[in-house]
Amino acid sequence: MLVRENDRQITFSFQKNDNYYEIGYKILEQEKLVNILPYVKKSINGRVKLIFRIDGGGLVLLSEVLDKLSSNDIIDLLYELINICERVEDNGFLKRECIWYRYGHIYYNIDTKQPMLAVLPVTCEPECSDGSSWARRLEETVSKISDFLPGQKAEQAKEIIAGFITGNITSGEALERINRLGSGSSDLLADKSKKPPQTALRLFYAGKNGELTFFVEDSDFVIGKDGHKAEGVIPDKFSGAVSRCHCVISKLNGKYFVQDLDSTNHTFVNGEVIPPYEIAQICHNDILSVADIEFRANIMEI
Amino acid sequence: MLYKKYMLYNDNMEIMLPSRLSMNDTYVTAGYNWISDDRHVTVNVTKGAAGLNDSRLYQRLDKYYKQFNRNMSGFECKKILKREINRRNYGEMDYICEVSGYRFFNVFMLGSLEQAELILNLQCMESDSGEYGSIFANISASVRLFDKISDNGSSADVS
Repeated sequence: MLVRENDRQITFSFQKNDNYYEIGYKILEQEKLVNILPYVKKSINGRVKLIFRIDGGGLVLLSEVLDKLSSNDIIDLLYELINICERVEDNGFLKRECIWYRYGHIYYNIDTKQPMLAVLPVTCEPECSDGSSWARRLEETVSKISDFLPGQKAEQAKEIIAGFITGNITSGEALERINRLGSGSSDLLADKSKKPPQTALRLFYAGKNGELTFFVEDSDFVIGKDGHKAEGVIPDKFSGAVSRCHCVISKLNGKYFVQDLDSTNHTFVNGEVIPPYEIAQICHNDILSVADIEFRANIMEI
Repeated sequence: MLYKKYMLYNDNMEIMLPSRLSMNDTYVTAGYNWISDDRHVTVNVTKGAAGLNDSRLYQRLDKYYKQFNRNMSGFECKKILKREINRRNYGEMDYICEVSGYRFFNVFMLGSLEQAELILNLQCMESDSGEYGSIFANISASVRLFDKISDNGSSADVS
């Protein structure tokens, strides 16, 4: 991969063995990462170039502004540089090695206080003509930035990044530790948990013979009267109408579904019968009837 | 909405589909096809080229993206991502295309079954994509494969 720069742009020219893919470029577009420098793609003689503009409003070379930033601003900066890795890898295809961490090519938006850099749509670390590696570039950049922190914090920051680069700590752990170096404000961590919360399905029945409560998490959950085959056992004292393996509840895509297992006295959701071996979704506050046992379904965060 | 489970490819694959879709017996290409009564919704499951394992998933998905971009009328790619479903990796591409003046929303999933491409294509009218978006997500999440994962492609990492 060839890298050229002038005072207006940084150009990356991809060679045949650089693993550039069209879908990588499409993913970059769809992810709309806030830390990417504005860019355009050009195809010349069958070779792709990505041109990142560095002459936009509010952009200054990071090295020219570091001595003017407070300690907290610098810690926020380090946090964002690692956070970019999490965001880039969120779609599952792009890897952190796509992020161009060369110190001399990192910019700072003085309006948004965000680092701005190039992210390349390649599937693995590109080969650079100067022989530098992704890890080396990140290490050098963090080292230079950390030098503007007071004594002990500088060393701690370098140690955290070294652990992150070698894989001894995860990006999540690195972010927590960097956050603690600063004011410990939780704002920085606010955008981290984009993942949906874990849930469980609680089924509750109360009748004249007592109460039954089942919790369904990630594994398939069979309800029936056979203690050897069912996880949710309905003893005879509650109902003689429940089959040995009456129905099974599965979790898919964060939702809960019940399948009737050809039971004698059927399975119902909100009064609607489920034909044998067919499947219906169970939503929060639905009534799941296993023969004549009516459960109230609650989906809870755990 | 009710769903049914189907076992395909000598019971090496399980998928859950809305009961309102019927299996299309007149489908002549190798694979499986379901269609709704109003013919607005279709589901296709087919096997493609051989030699696909986890490490080549990205390249193959790129190949399909370029093909669709070149050959499909009105092609608009909405989203590309990698998904892990039941410990298997899939590439997913959501896109719009035009056929006979009508716009269709598609979910294209590429995975690997028995060392070959496994292609799942879900299609509905673009105007129905709001309703069918979550149904298609349920269908994709229901896919379970029972063949052995290849030795040189673990389910963890795709390059």
